[in-house]
Amino acid sequence: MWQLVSGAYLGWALGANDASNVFGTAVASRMLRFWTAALLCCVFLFLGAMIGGAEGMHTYNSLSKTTLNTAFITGLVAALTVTVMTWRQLPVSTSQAVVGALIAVGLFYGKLELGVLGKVVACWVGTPIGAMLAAVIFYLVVGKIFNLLSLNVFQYDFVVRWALVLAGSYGAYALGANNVANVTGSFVGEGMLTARQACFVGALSICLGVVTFSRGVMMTVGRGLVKLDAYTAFIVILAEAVTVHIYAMVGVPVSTSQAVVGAVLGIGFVKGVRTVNRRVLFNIVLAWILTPIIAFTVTYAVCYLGTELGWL
Amino acid sequence: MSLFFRREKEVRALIQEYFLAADTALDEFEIGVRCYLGDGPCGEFRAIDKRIHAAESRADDLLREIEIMLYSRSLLPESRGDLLGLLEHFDKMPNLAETISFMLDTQQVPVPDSYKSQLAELIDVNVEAYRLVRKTVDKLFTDPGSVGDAVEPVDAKESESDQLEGKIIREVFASDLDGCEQIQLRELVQLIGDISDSAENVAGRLEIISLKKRI
Repeated sequence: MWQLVSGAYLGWALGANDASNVFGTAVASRMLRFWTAALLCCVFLFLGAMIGGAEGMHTYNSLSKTTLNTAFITGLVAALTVTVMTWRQLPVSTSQAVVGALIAVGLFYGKLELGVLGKVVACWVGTPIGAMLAAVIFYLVVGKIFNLLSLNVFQYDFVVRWALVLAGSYGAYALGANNVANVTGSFVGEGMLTARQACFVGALSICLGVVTFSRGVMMTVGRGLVKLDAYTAFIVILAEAVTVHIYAMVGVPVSTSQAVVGAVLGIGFVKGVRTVNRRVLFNIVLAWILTPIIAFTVTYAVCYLGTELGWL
Repeated sequence: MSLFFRREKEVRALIQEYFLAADTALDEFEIGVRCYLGDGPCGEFRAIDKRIHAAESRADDLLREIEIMLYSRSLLPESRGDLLGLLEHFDKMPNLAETISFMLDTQQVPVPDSYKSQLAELIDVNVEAYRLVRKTVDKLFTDPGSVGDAVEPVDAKESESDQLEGKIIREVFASDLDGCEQIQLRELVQLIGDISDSAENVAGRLEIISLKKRI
């Protein structure tokens, strides 16, 4: 089962990058120590993966049939795509990289389920839109409650800080439930892992990424979110968590980063200000298009070469 | 959970202590200037000046302690910034009380009888502005929704002080006092007036903090 290495690498990269979307604010504002945030993140992420991760595995399993070797290629190409896109500072989606690679495998072997693919792509489009709507609703409804409570500066600080911790924990749960399929979903099948085993291994590798490499990303992303103000950051994280959790229940892994951007845009609509500049939006759209294309092209080429040279 | 409450209680207690020290400085200042206007730089005034200095120093020490606590005890950056900005602006008032008292003690500014009642009135207006803003600060911690309503009376006191200052300064420079005395009196009047200016600034900050917490 050495092929699982590529999935573990992808899980590690996912943990290192995406933990910042849920606990970045709390860590960057020093309200939580990194290790406390990492522990909370790992616990809830693990719970999410074990309780709600199987749905996504089934989706990937029905999208395209893989073997151990093609699963290895899928994981490796997706991980490399994520690495390169991150290096180019483009907001990359692990789900899109994995799906791009899975489409290539499915097309190459003639086992692609177009109906499932349609559902996945629809969810990609729905992620930022859903998060945007959720952010608008939460901002207004929770804001009304806050105003009614008329909290003093200390009470407000206390409530918002705990709200950030709770939303972060829920976000970690949703991240585990939704994204664990990206990591080990392609390894589920006959002669490979069961969905439960895949959830366990996937969650472990994501947690490894959280513990070993997420601190720097948390500080960078967290500081960006803190600029919004703590209440808005809480709404963004909550909207992202709810959106990603809903897609976890639907069984389609989506991008937490894109959900965050959608939520931030939603806040912009409510406040009547531009919260994301054009360059950032352009980069998001570019990454949205490029990620699956790159993963698809490289995977297809590797499958072709592998078959020609007799590796596959 | 209790850790978070303990932190909040510690910061709140220190802030309350700071405001009590500032109150003492301003109360003593009011008594001290009245004493000076009545009896000049006598022994009683010097004793009061020392008490003003002690209260102001205590307020400064507490402010440093609060700053350290706010930076090390993980308040959200925006709450930290709001509180520190408020306290730094508020601190100008006890500082001014000490500066004026020090000026009277060291320069022994001569105040002609014809200006004593006007200066006493100016002191009243400015100390009243301080007390009004002090009440508004309390509201920020107890009833933040009512902070906005409490800002207007402070603005009114500041305007009243401005008018009085202008009147006194015009009279001083139209008088037969020698140039040095005129400048000393003008400086004294302006420093006293700065108290209500600072109170107005603090009131503005309080209003912004309160608005920021409205969503």
